[in-house]
Amino acid sequence: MGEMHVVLRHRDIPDLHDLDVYVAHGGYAQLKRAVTTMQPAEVLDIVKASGLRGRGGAGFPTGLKWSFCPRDVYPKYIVVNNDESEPGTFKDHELTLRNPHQVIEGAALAAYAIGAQAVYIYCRGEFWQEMKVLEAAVARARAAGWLGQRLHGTDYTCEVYVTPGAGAYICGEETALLNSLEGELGQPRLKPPFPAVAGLYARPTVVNNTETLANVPPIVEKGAAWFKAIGTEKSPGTKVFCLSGHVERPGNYEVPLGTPFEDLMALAGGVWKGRALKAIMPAGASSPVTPAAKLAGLPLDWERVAAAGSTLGSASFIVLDETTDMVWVADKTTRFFQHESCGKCSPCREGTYWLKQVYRRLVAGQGTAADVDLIGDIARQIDGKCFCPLGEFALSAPRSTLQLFREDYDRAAAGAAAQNGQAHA
Amino acid sequence: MIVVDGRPVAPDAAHTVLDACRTAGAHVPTLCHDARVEPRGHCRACLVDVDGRLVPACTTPAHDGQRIATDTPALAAYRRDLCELMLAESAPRGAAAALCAATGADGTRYPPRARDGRADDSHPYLRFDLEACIKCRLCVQVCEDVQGQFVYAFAGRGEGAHLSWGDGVRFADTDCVACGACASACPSGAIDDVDRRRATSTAGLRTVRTTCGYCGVGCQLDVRTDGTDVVQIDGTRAASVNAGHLCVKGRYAHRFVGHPDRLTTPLVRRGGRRDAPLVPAGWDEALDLVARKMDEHRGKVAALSSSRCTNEENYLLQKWLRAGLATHNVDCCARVCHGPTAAGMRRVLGTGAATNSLADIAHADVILVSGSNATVGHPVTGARIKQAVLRGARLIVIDPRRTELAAIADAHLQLRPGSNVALLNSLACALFDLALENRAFLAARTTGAAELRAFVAQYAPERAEALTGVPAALVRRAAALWGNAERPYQAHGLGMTEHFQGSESVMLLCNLSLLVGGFGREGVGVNPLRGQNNVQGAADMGCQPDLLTGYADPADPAVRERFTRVWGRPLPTDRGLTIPKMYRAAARGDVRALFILGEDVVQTDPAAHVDPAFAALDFIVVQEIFLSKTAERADVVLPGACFFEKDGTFTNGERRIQRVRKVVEPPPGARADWQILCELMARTGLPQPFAHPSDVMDEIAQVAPPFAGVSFARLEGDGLQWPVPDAAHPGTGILHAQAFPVGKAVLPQVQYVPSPVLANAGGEAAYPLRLVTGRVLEHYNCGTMTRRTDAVRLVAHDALEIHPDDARALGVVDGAPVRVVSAYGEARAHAALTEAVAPGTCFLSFHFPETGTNDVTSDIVDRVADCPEYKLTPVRVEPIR
Repeated sequence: MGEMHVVLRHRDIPDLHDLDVYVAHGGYAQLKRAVTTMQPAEVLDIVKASGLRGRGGAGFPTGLKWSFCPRDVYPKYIVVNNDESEPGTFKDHELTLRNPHQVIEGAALAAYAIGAQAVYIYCRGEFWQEMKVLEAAVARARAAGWLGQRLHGTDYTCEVYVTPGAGAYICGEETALLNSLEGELGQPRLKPPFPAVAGLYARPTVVNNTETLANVPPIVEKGAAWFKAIGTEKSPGTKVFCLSGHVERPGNYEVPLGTPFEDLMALAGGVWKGRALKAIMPAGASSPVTPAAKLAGLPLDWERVAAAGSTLGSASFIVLDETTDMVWVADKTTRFFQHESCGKCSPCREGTYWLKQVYRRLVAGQGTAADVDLIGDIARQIDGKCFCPLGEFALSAPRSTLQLFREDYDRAAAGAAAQNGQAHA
Repeated sequence: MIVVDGRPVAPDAAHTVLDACRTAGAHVPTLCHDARVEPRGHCRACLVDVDGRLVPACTTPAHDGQRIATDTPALAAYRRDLCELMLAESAPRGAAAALCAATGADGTRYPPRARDGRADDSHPYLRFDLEACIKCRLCVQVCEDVQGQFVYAFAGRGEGAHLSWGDGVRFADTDCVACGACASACPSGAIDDVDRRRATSTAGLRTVRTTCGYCGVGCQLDVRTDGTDVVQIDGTRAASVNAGHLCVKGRYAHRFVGHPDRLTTPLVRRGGRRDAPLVPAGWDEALDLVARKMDEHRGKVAALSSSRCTNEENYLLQKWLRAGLATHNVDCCARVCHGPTAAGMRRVLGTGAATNSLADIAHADVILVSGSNATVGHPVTGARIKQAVLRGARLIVIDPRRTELAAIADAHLQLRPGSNVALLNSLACALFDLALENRAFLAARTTGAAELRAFVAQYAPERAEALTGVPAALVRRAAALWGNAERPYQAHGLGMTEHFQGSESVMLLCNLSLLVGGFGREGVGVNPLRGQNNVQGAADMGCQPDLLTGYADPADPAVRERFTRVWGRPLPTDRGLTIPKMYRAAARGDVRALFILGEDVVQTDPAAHVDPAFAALDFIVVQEIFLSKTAERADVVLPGACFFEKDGTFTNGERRIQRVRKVVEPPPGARADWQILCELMARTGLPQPFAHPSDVMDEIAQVAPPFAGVSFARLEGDGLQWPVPDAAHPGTGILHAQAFPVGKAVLPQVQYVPSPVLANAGGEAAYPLRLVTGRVLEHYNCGTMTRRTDAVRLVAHDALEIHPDDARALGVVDGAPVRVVSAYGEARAHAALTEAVAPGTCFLSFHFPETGTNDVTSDIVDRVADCPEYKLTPVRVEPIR
């Protein structure tokens, strides 16, 4: 199977970020059609029927998420989670830079479907360029009458606001994102209540990933059946896979879900330098590593990656070749999560700190067998005990590498400093 | 059914899994849990096993069918390891340390790592040792959700997360109001205070519950004592009034108790000469002298009772004057604070006290605070109002100053001092204009709505604006908020009462609640924030010339019969004098002997009243705990006891009678005031049979129907709110549910009359600024108590608040000494430039005798209730060079 551009349409249409080009290719027509000729429930029904699942990581059915919003409580909000912070993930970055209007139109369609009149696009703190592009796109679309007050002579109003984060991984977690958006410390909230009931400013709120929403205009245009015909039954549509690490041509590749692993790797030119594959991290730093043996012939959709012991998540494949020291990999992810732990609850705050200490010793060649055991102990103290999922994310790499590549740990425990000569170190 | 460790719990008995566990009697450790704030699940100590999963008990909702285990090997291991992690990052004390010890954690699992070593002892009361901090953030929550102060935040992330009150800032320089809620909540000892540290190092402490002796909120205190000293104070968690919360005065300002300045022996001037020195004397000599002199001046004696003293003592004093000395010349400091409230509310409704309870604040959807700086004067009530506003209640504030509450109000009506009547009429006019009056309520419970409507038309906001300075649009916005309220609650303070038209202003406050149907149910009412701890009680007990105990009318034959029967003496037949009238009578020679129980009138009453009276009086007795400015001028000084040193009751501003319990003995030589009064009564021919204040209360129950059901035995716990008509009655939280004592309330019409003080002063050219006087948070009234505590390290002198524009025009700079001059006298203070006062207005507190605040205030009084006009004096301000 080859690439198929549903959201990465800009790769086929030059200057699609320009409003005129976007409109010339059918842009904002779906929003206009929905607002002027369709009931909100119709839009919701199409998205529900399409089987679209969240592209941010959890794969939760999008239409179902929208339908959790109570009908008669106003105001409501759509929040676009553009806080793309998972190491190895860079699809939303490309989407917002090159195809911003499709994201905006999708968000506006979602707003119409749930009865929201305001959309907030929350961008990760480092997205300076993306923010500029989005703000310009919103301003032009609004000036041209595609967004704003009383759209197309109806009573429906949709305003879109672009807001920056301040640079914290945890703000990709939707409740931490909402806190940050409200100007509070970016730390997760207690759930329940869930955002659909009490989200932004304690009003019903849907938080959707950027790529998810970019799928909405084509679905509304071409119908649920068209969308379901792409991909697999339970994972319909295409997915942008972010390939990085030991691969010949790193980058974004949009292919139908269910595409076999080898086909995807072929698009990217395979493992670099002709080396053999050791493993991949299929959902960035937060996913358990999946060994090469389990990847052979694996169709890439949520169910089957999960069945292989990992998670598809946001489909951010970090490719690790045969020379990779897995202790070094786990050390890197541990340092990342320790740095990004918000500090709210002790198991994560202290647990990630101590995990880091142990890995620092191991990679420095000063580790012992007791240190390797300690990893398991600390992991048990974190697992299931934390306020939010970040604590468990931090355990994915340590636990999976320890289980699958024990020999790397034994070597480290024997006093050998970890090899980290990789180009991407 | 929920099953906890094998024991069944009814699902509706529990909101959270933690509730269920506690209902079942299972012990679940918690560190960041506090019933006063929403559970957050930060500390992770309360994890329990629910249907095989470990979840935090405090934040997990309970529901039918859950099987909960609180004590499994996995949980024990988890808790021990959690404590090990805690011990690696901190060195906790208190509850956190106890949990660590209980789980067997010893700090050896992980080597201690670099810790937050900050300490701060810049504040007079609060202490910080952040090495102990377990980062549970309960302090942040109680500061925000209980006090509404937002002093703390957590900064940094991951293992760098730390408590912050501003980078590089000394804690003493923060906005902290020293309520101490954080220190009392902190489970690790990271936030502490001087008293808690003292309590930790003192063995054998006993805890006594009593009622705070500062303001009229009536907070319940758990006082820890070593038998001779008050060591440490916490709020009583179970108390309805304060639910564990306290303010800087209630929690910390207790060091006056054992102060070396305490009076320990009676003082007399021998030879009957005012210029003779006050010298120590024996009790018999002093008491005999007082008895002889009071007898000698029979017919020309008067007494001021004390709102600082108990109900029983106030009752005894007025009984002495009436039954013993045959005069109604007894008054109390309600005269100079909420006398106008009692008068105004009685006139309109029939009862002169708060109609509702403090707990109603939480149920109100719109709160109108007028003439009250509640976060300063009544801090725990102020905090309650802030809590309500933070939860979404709307707030209207009428105040010439931008107070803390005004700053968070939906509408702040910043009126020119003295224009209350005009503003309240214009609010009523705007309500009618907007057609927001509650017609059903008006028809059922009032008369005169049509007439009032016609009357207030002349106060249309656009016209009243010229008098009040409040923009008409703002008045209309406030009226719209008020008129659309479902549960409109009023709280008012002395900014309404201490005026020439004070009583009439209160009548108009009643109007505002009548117009919107705001009486007789939860979350509404007109509620004066009573100033002193027992000013409500002093008036209840009959320390006012025109009303007997329980507000009985001495002209009523049935009343006369009842009192005569119980007291065994006929009631006096004179009219009785109010405080200002006593002063005038003294100056004329019609009053010759004055007995003052625990009041410092020289500092707190206008000198224009006091000085001529004191110069003419033959005999002045002051019963006091310190040698106040008033005591210095007395002929006899009797050393009394403070509220930590005696038994009795106080009645707070919501009519709640609460127990005062002896914590420590009075200093050697001093006596409980009720005992001194009984001695004096005996020596003037009226022996009393009382062995204990509870006996006095039993007599009060006999003479006063509102207290008929009150006895000390029934006052355990939260006390009783009067009226309590019989021994089975539960007390009355909400008055006027069905009808007003007057029947249908007649809506009063009050014409605005400018205070004569404005004309007396010789015009705006000579005295261009309008001075308002009042209090600050850290000190209490004349300051005899708070000035003898570390409160002086927080505030060391009175400050004149003045707008920067006025200051600039006068050449006054911030912090510089100024003279405040009125037509009556002058005061000195340091200038504090602030935009909290409007141009043309200034503010001065009266806590320090050297300031002379009440040398400046006028002799104008409320024309109904004789309350001095403390809240309006035309002055000029001059820099002292």
